[in-house]
Amino acid sequence: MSKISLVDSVIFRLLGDECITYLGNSGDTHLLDSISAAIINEVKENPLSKDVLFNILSENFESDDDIELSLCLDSYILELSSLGILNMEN
Amino acid sequence: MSQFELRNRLADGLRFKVGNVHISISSTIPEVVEHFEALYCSYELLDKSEFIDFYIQVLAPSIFRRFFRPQVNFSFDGFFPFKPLPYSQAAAMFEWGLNWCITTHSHQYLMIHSSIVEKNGEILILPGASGKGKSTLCAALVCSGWRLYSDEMALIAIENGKIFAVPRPISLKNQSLNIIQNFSNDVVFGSTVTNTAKGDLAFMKVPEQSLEGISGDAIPSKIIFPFYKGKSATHFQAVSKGTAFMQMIENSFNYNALGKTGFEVLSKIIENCDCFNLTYDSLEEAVSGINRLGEK
Amino acid sequence: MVINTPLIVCLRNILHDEIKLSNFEAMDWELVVRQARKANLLSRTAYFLRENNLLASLPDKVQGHFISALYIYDANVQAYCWEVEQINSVLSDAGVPCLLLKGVAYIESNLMSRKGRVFSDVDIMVPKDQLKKAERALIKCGWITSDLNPYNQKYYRLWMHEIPPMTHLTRHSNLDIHHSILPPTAKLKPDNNKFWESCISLDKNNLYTLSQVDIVLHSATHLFHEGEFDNGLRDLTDLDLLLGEFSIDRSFWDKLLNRAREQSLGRPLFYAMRYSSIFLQTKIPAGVLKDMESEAPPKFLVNIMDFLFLRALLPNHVSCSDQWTGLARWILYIRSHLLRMPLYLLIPHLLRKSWMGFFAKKR
Repeated sequence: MSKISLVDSVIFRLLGDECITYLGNSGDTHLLDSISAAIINEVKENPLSKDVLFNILSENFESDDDIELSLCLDSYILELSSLGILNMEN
Repeated sequence: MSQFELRNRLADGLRFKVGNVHISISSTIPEVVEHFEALYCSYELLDKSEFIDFYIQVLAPSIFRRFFRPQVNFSFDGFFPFKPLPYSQAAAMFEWGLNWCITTHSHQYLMIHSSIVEKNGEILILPGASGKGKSTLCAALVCSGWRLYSDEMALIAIENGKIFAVPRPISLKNQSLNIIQNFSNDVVFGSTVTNTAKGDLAFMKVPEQSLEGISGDAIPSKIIFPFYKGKSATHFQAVSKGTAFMQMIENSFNYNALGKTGFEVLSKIIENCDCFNLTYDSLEEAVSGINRLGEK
Repeated sequence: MVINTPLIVCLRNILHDEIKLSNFEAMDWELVVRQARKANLLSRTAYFLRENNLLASLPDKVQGHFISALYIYDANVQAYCWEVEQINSVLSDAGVPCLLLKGVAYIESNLMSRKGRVFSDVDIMVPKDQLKKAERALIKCGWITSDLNPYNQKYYRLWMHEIPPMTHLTRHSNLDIHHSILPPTAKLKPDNNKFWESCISLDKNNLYTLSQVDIVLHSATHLFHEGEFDNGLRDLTDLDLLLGEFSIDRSFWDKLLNRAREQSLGRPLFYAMRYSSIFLQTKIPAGVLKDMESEAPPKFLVNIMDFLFLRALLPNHVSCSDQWTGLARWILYIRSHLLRMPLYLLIPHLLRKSWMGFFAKKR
């Protein structure tokens, strides 16, 4: 089961609903929305599998459709990985 | 001091301080002497044993260039960062050059391109590039009882987040000159310089209250991004801290150069500030609006 | 020529952990800051002051300038490590080995000479026969050649030891790709293959540096072929630190001298040792200095070089100049061109550059 974790050199601040991240290797700064903020906050201490992350997020974010939420989570994870913020470990 | 003495001191190197910045300026150009006479008479002088941060010269490039299509050059300790400008812009060149010296060599601070004013221990940061109205608004606030910290740059000490004041004459351009002259009767200006790259320009003298008794303990509580827009109503729109953070980066001289340190310092500032966009046309209304915000 | 300026006295102390700066007053520190800034040594001076626990006891105003330089240095290191990773990732995929030179090499090899060193470009060397492949791979990944002027392109590609500088489109970082350490047109002709044969592989895949003796020779050759000495004193401190670190192994000196003779680089090494001893009191055994005399030019020429280098290697600051400094710098500028290109190529080249410069101004 692959696990999602925060890239080592990333630091972040939660500002209200949003999150500002700084990537220590590239020097990039990103402003991220509430869902990204929630994901980052959950994986900051320990890597989590996508299933565990899904369960945590579905409690915090209202959605009638689990499939939609799961796809949404997938796209966030992909986006945050491509930005260099999250790792997908096997 | 007399103009005669001022001229001699400037020829040798006039040593003075602005806030915590120690400067030595040497120039024999009459316009520079007049600029100092009009606008710098209240600044504290330094004696020769004191450390100088920036050795500056404003001079004609050569005797030839003193008379034929006259030009002026700016030197920072023997280095010429700019191309020469027309001679008539000598005083402006000093001010722009000093801005460059500070923003290029003061990375013990996070520096934001902004005006900064203070009242009752509360600091307002007004970030914005040239042309958005920050200097005009800053000048109006300074005429309305706010203390000037700087009209050009916020210096935020990395070590402890304190804001350092460098209160220098406020540069006002074109219509802003008339607007501020109408805004307040007590305003003193240096000579107007025409035909600069930014239009007509003059510098407003800093009131003496701004130069006295800066405690250094005031903390920023509000960040207001000003947008002058003709014929618009005065409107404060709350901005999320995240958005304000990104806008502050765009207005920072050295956020990127500082790397992770810049992020950490800016985070602390933003966490403690309420952030707004301010759209305005009427200066009076903008100033009252800001005063009312402070009272809340 | 007086070379005991406050900056140089300070450097001699802090580079060798022998601190006798208690008689420095505020005005001396002011000169240290001003001279160091001009010599691109502000962050190195700051680094060693901090390492020797001297920084915190300096007056606040003095500290501010050093601290400013240290913040920039830290961020600089971070940025260039990332840059090297990006460049190496491209070259590695293209199958081109990436040999790091100068500042980035010192950082990636964790040498003492990385301490406080700032630089603005990444310098690398690739095998000459893979140069085009490297350039193409980098262009595909966002690097562009910054100078598109056809004459300058020809100058670099035909005559020089590097291709025109490249810049990354979005990061605006600069990259200089060399294929040898000296131009093919230069008088001295070390065998570049020997540098590759002895190079050291770093822990990271596809990254290499020169061997210890070659790092020293490259630094010495580069400095004493230079035309402009804004970084001269900084490069001399590099040499001081490199020699100090590598000579902990006593056999290093013999290896260095042998390699210098093997690669016909004895002359620049002679100058390197001479001037780092004079300026920085670099610890070089007397026997080694004696041995190096065989690489020296005739005595009259040594005197001339002293006249020139004892001025040009000082910071380019009003407090370090005398009435001959301008002339000395100019003569060394001409010398550097003569070392790089024979007269029959140099004269048309200089004429062409003046012509181009004149028309550029007119436009």
